[in-house]
Amino acid sequence: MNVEGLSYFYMAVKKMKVRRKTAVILGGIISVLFVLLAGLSHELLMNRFAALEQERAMVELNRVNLSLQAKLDMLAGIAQDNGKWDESYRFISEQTDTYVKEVVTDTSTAHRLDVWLMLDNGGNLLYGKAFDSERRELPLPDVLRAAAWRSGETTLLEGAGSGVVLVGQRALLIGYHPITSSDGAREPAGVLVVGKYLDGALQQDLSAQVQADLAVVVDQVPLAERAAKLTLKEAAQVLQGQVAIADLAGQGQLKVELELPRRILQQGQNAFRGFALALAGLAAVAIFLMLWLLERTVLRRLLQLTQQVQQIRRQEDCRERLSVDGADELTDLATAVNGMLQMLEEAFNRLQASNNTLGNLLNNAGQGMLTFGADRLVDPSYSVECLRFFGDAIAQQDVCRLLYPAQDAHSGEEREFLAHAIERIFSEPDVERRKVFLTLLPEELTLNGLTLEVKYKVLLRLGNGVPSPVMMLIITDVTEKRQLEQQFRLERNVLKMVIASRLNYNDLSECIQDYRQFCRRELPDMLEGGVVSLNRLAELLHHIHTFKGKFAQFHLLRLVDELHGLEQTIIDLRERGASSEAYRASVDAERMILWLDEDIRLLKRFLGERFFASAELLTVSRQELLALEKKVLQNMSRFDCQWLLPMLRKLRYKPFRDLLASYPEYAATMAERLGRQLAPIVIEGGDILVNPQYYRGFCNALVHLVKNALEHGLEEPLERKKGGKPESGAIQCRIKLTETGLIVTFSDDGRGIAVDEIRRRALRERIFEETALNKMTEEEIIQLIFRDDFSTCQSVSRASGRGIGLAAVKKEVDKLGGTIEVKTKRDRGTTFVFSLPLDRHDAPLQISWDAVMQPLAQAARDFWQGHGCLPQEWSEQFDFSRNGLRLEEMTAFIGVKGVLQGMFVLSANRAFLESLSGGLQPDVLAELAEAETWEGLVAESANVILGNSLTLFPTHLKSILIDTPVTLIQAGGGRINYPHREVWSYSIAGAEALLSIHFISLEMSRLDVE
Amino acid sequence: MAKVMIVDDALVMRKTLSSMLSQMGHTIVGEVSSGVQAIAEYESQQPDVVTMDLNMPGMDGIKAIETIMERFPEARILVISALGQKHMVFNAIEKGAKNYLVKPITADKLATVLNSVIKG
Repeated sequence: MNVEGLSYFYMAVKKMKVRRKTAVILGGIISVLFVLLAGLSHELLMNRFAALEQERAMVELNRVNLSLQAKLDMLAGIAQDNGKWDESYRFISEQTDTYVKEVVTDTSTAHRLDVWLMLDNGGNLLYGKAFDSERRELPLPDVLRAAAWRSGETTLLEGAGSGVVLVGQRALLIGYHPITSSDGAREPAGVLVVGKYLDGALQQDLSAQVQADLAVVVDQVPLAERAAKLTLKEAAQVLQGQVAIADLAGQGQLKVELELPRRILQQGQNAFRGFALALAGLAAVAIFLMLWLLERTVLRRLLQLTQQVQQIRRQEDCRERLSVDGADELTDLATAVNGMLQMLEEAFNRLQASNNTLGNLLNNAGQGMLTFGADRLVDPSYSVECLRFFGDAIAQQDVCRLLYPAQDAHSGEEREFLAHAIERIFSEPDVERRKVFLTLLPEELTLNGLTLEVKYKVLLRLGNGVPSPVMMLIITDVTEKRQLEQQFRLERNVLKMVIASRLNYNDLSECIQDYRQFCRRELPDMLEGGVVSLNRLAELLHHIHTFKGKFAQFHLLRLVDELHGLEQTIIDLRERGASSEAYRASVDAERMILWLDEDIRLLKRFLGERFFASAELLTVSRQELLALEKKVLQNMSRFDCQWLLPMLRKLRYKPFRDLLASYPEYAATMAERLGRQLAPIVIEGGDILVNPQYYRGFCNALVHLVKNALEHGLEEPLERKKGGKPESGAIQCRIKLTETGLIVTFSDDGRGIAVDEIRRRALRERIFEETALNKMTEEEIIQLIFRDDFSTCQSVSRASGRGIGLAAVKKEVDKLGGTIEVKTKRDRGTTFVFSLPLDRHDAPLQISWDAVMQPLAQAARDFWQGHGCLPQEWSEQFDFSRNGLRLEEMTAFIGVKGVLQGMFVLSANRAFLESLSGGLQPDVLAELAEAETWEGLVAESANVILGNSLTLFPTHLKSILIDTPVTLIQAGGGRINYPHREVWSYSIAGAEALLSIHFISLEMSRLDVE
Repeated sequence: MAKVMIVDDALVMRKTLSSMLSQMGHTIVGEVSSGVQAIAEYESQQPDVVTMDLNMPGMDGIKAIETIMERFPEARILVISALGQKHMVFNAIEKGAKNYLVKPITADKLATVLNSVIKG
């Protein structure tokens, strides 16, 4: 593996997860160890085995060699035995068959010799014999015959010895010995050579001896050494041993080759293989075990730890803590991390707190603060006021668009300018110039109906260590301030206007009227038609300009402003040559009047509602009104009065409910003081117009009912709640108009009046005896509360005293001639029902017979009696006719005008007048006498009776005008006929005297005509 | 003390400014009523400070400032503006004017701003 590969592998491992990395490293190390161990042991063992095997092979080879040498020695022995033998010696010279037969053949046979040679000392063959394996004689090979025993001039066979001779492809082992006498004393006659071929039986013999297969090879390569050479060659499966022996002639060599199976090595290898396998297995088990343990003790927990940390990081919640089982370095690590988390959490909390504090400071400064960089996008943190100013979150929004969100041209222009200016300021390196630029940014703007003051600052912000400029906007809401200023200015203007108006009231008033008239009449005329001529426009402008100037004198600035605008509009329209429709659309008279009304409204605030009205309205006092009413009643007919009077009265009458208007607030205040809860007082009805004077007393007295209801009637909230009522008490007042009068119902939903308590109290206060009380109905007992000397409440308080209040109410009702009915129900409340008559003024102008004639009758009686001459026996009669009337002797006519329109006729006989005269004072009579007595008397009587009766007339009849009497004296009386006129008559008569009084209605009315 | 040139089309304004400036001890080296004159006068007088009205007939103040700044980059120009001309003033400052004053002008304001222009 080259360097790159290694580094790649290193990087790969480095990138691996711990689990895989561990596996790879552990596996790698153990594998390498395994390989090293296996290789080393293999090397050591196999070498040892190989050496052992070679040693053994050499032993085997030696044995082969030794066996070969033994064979050679044996052959040398045979050659010695037979060469150093007399017989042989002799044979050289004698050549006997016997010897051949007995010695050569036998010996050969006995020793299984293949060759028997006898050579002379020169090495020439003297005798030779060869045999096959069956002991048959064979021809001697040429190589043995020829001068083979010589090598050049020297014989090969010196002395005794043994060796190898190569015969063709066969190797012949020979032994040789000089042929001497048995004692060896003689000179050698030649050399005896015996030989055996190394093949066949000999080879087998040899194989058997060394217990290995031998191969005999004849090689023609000469061998340097004579001694046998042992060599060993290794092959995969076998060891090849070789014993090489040089031939005697030095022409070649004999090789005996031996193949030895490498059993030791193989066994060794087998054993090693087993060992290696076992080792590998062990290694694998070791790896597995180690990984498993690592996984159990470290990796899995590490992973768990990592996951927890990652989760904390994901959730960004440093309040979480790690938990790892056990108690080792990993748990220590977890604890350490937890410690860090703790620190983080505390730091975070501190930061948060400090941010909050800072944020609170900023947020509570009441100012909008925001920052942005050159990109003009608002930074994410800004003060909370900004939300109010801009109406929404503003992070990452273009500040120019925020300040000028509107779509109109002006906003667009301002926005563009601001954007340009901001860009310029951010790019300006000169601090002083930047300051100058900052002062030119908009200082005040209107946004979402707020007037905002904006201040600009350029700050340096450290971001990523590089300070970059940011712009800070400090926005203050000055709406209220500006409004106040505006208000102040306005007020000052208004005051000026007020003063000017006051001082020049008439001018202003006239001017206003002119203006109104101009708007309503002249203006529409001017703009009429299809085309508005230039002349007319000039006139229009002239008018408007004049009004503008005049109103400016009175400081009606609002109107003046508007008129100024209108002027401009008209000029613009004129320049455009607009149509009259366009003028009519732009110059709206109603709107122009509205402008004036606005200013007038302001003026009225200071000068009172009536200030301008005074030109059109007259102030008429109540007294004047009453006088007017009286005049009407006196001078107008009844029927005229019937429609005139209500109109007149309406001028001073008020709706009945107005008389009660103060009660709701009064009750609320009092309820609060008493700690009662009270729903607003409900007043229903009462829109009828009434004479406030007439009912004021009653209405004022109702305050006692309100007090009583609050003090005694309504329970405390808790009690009410327990009783299942709403906590707030209710007081109602209903006013109803009926035919007979007004029904005023005053009710509360309190605890009601305790009848028993009234009874007890009446006893205690000794108002009634028990027997009397027992006879009284419940209603009668309740009525006791209206007595002056009665109160159901022991306590005396500022608001409601001792029940005098109810008595006061009763008195007022009595004054009006009304009645009171009380309905009370325990825990349900009390209702007072007041039936009040209508003010007689308000009653329809009915003039009844009664109303006129009864007073007259009374007055007549009183008159007669007053003169002390009413006879003991007298009778009276009322009459009614349409047929005129009968006149007595003396008659007085008195016309009346007004509500009662007609004529009184007083007619009496002489007896009546005479009876009167008796009662008349003498000086009166003298007076009468001076005049024409009877006429004067009857006139006087008529005056007095009618005059007196007036006081007895109902109120509305009192206001009549009475003419002076006209008298008629006619003896015997007479008759007046008034056709279709009603004549009411009353006559009173004594024994002789008779007085009749008539009223002839002379009223002409539509009713009558009909 | 500085040599000041006044550019304003209104005589009243020129007189007001020149009397104020004289009282402060500055020398009035020129009083002109148009942008074109201002450029010519600047060349001959080489004033330290120019007070420049923005609204003038003919060449307006901004154009004059632009031309003067092009030819005399070291020129110190103080803009005299009316209320509600912020955009124009901004433009003038961009073109190279040093500072500005909003009418009505008081001696105090003039002194402060003029000093800052002379120093700057």
